[in-house]
Amino acid sequence: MADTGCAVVAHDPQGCACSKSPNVDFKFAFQPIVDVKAGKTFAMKRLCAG
Amino acid sequence: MLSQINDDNMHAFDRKCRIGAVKAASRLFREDTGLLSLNTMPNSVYDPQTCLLTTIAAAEAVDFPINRIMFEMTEHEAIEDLDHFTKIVSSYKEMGFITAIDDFGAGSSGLTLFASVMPDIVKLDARLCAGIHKSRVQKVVVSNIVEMCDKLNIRVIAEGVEECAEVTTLMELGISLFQGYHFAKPAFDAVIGEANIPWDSVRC
Repeated sequence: MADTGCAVVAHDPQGCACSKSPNVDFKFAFQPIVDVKAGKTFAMKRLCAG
Repeated sequence: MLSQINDDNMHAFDRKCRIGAVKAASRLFREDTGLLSLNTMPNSVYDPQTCLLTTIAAAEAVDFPINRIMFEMTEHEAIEDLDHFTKIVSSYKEMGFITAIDDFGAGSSGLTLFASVMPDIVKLDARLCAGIHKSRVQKVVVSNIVEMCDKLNIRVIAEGVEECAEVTTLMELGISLFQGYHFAKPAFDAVIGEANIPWDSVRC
């Protein structure tokens, strides 16, 4: 996750969230899941970082 | 902010994060077919209707259909209490969410889980995908998982794919859905999108 600029990572019981710094609005990190056959994004995964 | 999270407010925090993710996802897709994938832990859910009310409300508020929200659950959760796990996953499905077993192949309950839960999607554990082009054993294992999933109409996603040779091998085994650094690294919603995936260079 270092390359995403995510400085602070929270592990919560049902998922994860990222914030660039405390006390600011959360910014979510996503990673695409791609469909190679269709040549498009199948899903966006909200990332568990760390 | 994160230092203020404790056992008492953790679930509220998670709920808020999930709502934020749904809102962010509604801006991410150029096409209206992409899914938003979120982790969830069924063992911490006792009443899915109540637990997911705010998520459903958030999805409705931004016109993001709940049948485009995919909940990923790990095998480890099922090991703790398979009956409860199965019940919660069934509830999710009945409510219209997409269900996925994450890290499939990493735990010990795989086939039992399969028979009990019947998820919409299986995500192969990254360790089954890493270096698969060099391992006959991994190829045989993945090939059989893919065949089993095909017969049950379950889609398979290969996780942690970083090399072209892995993609080629996994495609030969019948997989077309991929997650991994080879295709795209994680990024914040403001900068990510289909336009950022260099389709020409990621094809192997």
